Amino acid sequence: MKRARIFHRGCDVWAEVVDGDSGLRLPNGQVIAASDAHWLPPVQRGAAVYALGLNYADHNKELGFAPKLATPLVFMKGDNCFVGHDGDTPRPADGNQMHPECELVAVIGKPARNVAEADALGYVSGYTVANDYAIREYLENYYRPNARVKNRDATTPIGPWIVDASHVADPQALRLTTSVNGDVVQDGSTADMILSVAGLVSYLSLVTTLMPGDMILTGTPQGVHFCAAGDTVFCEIEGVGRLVNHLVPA
Amino acid sequence: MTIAGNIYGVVLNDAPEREALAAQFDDKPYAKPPVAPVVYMKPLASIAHGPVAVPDGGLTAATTLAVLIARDTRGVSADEANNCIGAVALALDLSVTSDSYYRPAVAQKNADDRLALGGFTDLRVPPSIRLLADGTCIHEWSLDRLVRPVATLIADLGAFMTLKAGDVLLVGLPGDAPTVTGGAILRVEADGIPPLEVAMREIAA
Repeated sequence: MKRARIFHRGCDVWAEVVDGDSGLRLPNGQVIAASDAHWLPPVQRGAAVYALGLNYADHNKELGFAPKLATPLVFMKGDNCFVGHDGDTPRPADGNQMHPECELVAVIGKPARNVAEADALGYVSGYTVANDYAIREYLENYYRPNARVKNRDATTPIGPWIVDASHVADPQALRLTTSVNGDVVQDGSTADMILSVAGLVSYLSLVTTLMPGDMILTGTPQGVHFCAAGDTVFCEIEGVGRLVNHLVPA
Repeated sequence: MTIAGNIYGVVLNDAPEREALAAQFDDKPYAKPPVAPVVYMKPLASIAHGPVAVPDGGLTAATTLAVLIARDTRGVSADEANNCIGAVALALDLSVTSDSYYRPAVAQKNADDRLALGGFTDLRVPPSIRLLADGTCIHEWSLDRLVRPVATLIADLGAFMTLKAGDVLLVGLPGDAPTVTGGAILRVEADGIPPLEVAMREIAA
């Protein structure tokens, strides 16, 4: 099953994606056209959302970092930074080095504490797609990547929906692509992740208790492409979804 | 309304700590002093419920003021920022000691029970916050030390990220916060704000 969070006639509701992704079945059974939906981020308020930096060896090489860090580079993201499918993201006038980062997102399904890697996928209830934009001009070397880069309002498109984990046979065998105005700028595979989804769930569960609805943005492959206001950016993960975002001047 | 969203905090907002580290800021890995507020987050799962387990080596026990946001802060000026605050509480932010601010401190700060919060009351910024261990004061700091006072901090954050109603902001940590070990009862006090008490226990071998 795929579940989307949408805004419908004054309510914030979860709808089931039906009819080959063209329809959304509301809680009252009514089906509306997906093309008419106002998509919200499928993120619960108060969820702990973790994100990985430098978790693909090819991307690390591209940025001049070691292929594998001694400790995973993990940061958190706040509710303010998310924007739903087909939404707008501000592209600051001085953010000339703003680039999209297509990422597989794992959604936690039950409390995870001290979980072994071999058991970790059992704690993942679903997957979605995020585009964790970075603006390199705003990087500072304090808690890097710092909040002014990674926690800006509406700069992390996420969605369109959450697909059940049972529909993703192997989360480490998914093609990820990003295209900007139709040109492919990222084309990678989750097979190249340094810490796998299971490895990340296990690692974080040693640090904290992951709770249902918490999320892990698992990092991005190579392909740094600077975007401009007016660009339309598509992030697609095979078998999960295709996330659209519009960059607007700010 | 109470806490309904994210918990944010800032480090390097303590003037004496900034002065002490000033020479390091020009070196690797920092290269230059921080410009924007240096933000961290704690998950709701880190709010302590009952005694706190202290690992070997102890925990840095930093007292601070927790501000509950009642109105979204995007674009507010420092003059308007207090209008966004719904309540304040005392807080004790516990973390594994680290002398580096280069990478996010998730592994140091995010464990379960690493944040103790007192009761919320109406907005006031106390002159100082005291930390007592078994009745003895082991640390006190004046909020005059904040590089960015509360309203300025909210405004400077609001320039790029919205603190939303239901979020909490920890306004800064003292650079000289003591290290505590298991066994003590810690109490955080400040004039006019409900005190906070939390027991520290050793992790069973």
